[in-house]
Amino acid sequence: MAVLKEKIPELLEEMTKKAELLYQQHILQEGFEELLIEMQGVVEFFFLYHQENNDFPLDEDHMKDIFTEVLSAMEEQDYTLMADLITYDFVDYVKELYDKL
Amino acid sequence: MEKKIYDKNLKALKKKYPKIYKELLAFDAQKRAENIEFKCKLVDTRETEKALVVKKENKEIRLNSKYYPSREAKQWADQFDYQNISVNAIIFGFGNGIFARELLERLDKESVLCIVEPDYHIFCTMIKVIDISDIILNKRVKFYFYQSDKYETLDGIAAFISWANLDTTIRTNHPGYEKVYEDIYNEYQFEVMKIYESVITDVNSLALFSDSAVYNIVHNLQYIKQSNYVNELIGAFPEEYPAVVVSAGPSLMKNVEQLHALKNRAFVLVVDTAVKVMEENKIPYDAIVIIDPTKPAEFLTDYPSCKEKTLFCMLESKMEILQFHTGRKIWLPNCYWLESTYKKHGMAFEKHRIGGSVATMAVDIARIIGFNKIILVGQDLAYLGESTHAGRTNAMGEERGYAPQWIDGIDGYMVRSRWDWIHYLQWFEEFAEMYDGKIMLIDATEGGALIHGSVVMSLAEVIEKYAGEEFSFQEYMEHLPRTFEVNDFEPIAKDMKTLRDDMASLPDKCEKGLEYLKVYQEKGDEISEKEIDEALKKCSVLNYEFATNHGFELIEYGISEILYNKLDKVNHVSEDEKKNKEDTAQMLIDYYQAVKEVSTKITEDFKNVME
Repeated sequence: MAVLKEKIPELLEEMTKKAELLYQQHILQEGFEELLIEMQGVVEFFFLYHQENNDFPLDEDHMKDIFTEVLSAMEEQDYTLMADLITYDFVDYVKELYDKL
Repeated sequence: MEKKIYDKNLKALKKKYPKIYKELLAFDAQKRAENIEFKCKLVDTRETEKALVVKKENKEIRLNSKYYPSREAKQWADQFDYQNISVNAIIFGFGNGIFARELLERLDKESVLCIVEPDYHIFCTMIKVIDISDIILNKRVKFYFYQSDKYETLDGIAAFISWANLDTTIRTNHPGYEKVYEDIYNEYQFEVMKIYESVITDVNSLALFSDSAVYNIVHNLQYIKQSNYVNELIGAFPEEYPAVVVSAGPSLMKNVEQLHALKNRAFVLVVDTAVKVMEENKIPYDAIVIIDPTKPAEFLTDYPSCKEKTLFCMLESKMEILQFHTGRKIWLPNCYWLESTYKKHGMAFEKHRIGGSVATMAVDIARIIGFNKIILVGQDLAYLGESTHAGRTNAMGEERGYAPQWIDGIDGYMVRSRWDWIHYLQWFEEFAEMYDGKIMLIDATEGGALIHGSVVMSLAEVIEKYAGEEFSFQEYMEHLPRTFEVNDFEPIAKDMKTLRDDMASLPDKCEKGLEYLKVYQEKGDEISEKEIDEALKKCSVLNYEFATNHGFELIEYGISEILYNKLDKVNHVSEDEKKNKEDTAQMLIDYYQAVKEVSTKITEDFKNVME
């Protein structure tokens, strides 16, 4: 379910903290589920916003690719890669988009 | 390969780790000659630091972040607590050195970083492309290669783990190594856990036995002059002569009668609790082993005919038993004062592999003396029904909370054992593995747990195959001169007097320390930082005097039971510096009071013994 716009900065901070735990090899199953729900919520928000605002510069394929790569890294148990994708791809891209809202 | 970097790293290795240097070159040559497949490479990232990637079974495993390896390493290293005193670290896996560097940066200058690399594959490649000579030569770093020398690695780790730093030592692995080296990693983890368990067992034993041990040491000093020490028996026996270690497991009753056939055909060494069975059944044997400072003396004193047998014992062993015993005493290593004093005067004890039980000590005695066949009898390490020992049930195990566990039995079925026996079982298995090819460990118990690595045989088969030529140990001992019939006793006597005098000076030193800390006792947390600094400064000078006081190890034995719980947090430090100083002051008060109490009692005992 899409998240509210005001919640996005807080969620990005949460995701960054969870990514830090991944770098430290602290792996928690509940943490993964929360992370994926948060990411999905953010992705859905921007997809909906893009539908209502055609000129919003969202690269849907790029967003989907990042999300897929995160899932793939999780399946491979490559937690460092997960942390990299979340911190430097997903969070950085979402911050870019948020500033353009 | 970058030749300059490679040469620099090799030079550093050769200087600090000559053995590793040679093994590495041999490994590299073999790898090239046999074209061994183990691919690892450094790949570009978004920063200057590269990421190490290893190929295993056609799968690539990255050992660093593919984006920012240095940031990853910093975030990884930030998870650990470096505030406490003497924080050491053990890391499984070196990789490209980036994680080790972050740890070194955070550890203080007195800490040790132990790097355990599983094998030479990755290291061999890294030293050709990355300059790690600074890490190699760093005096805080110790490198080990687990597969090359497992026991040296584990001994190295064990050497700096103690009860004081058990929970402040950082124990971790380079991320990804657990995937690349899954089997070795699991084995390594298991072995390190055993080291930790050993420390806990030793501390618990020390706490349990310390009070008796220190008084036994003082009383038993009087027997030194008329005794021998274990090294003097090296080479005493004919080649291929076997040693039989008889323990009091429940299976002993099954085959003990057969030991008659081994009279003068094997060295029959009996542990304290098995003496009763041997004596009551009139089975001939050569010697007894006792180590326990609190063992009830009746195990031997109920059998006057054993008092003349050769007795392998420690200075800490029960004084009533040594008093009862009139035969030849042979000292075993353990007491620091005895070992260091003998070594000082040219009589070094052979290094002993601690196992925690009298049976493991007996097997190690046999090793030290030079036997290449050691036979275990009565070494069940498991329950036989409800029986724990030959002819009796000892409920002490259950009362002490040793929950039963199921393990492999010698006949293919599972048998019920318990935590402390499993600990000894692991010792026997390590012993069998470590000395494979040099010493045959034969289990002729005919029951109980399976000791993996041992040769399982019936006692009848052992007798038929391995009984030695006729040799009388008793006659040998009658002709063996005592240590101080061939060595001068005067220096030892002088050291004993120094020990006595140093001990006698301790109560007054403790009073001095308590006087320095009186200001804290009176003011508590209202003491100013200046006052507490002054008091602690005076105490640190005093503490140095303790450390150089001969016989201080005896005091540590005596106080460990008193202080064990209080000093458990000795290395834990909080962020509040004044609070840390106040905690130190309180610990020192407890410490000086304990040292004073024990040293006063020992000084009194010394007077009686030296007279």
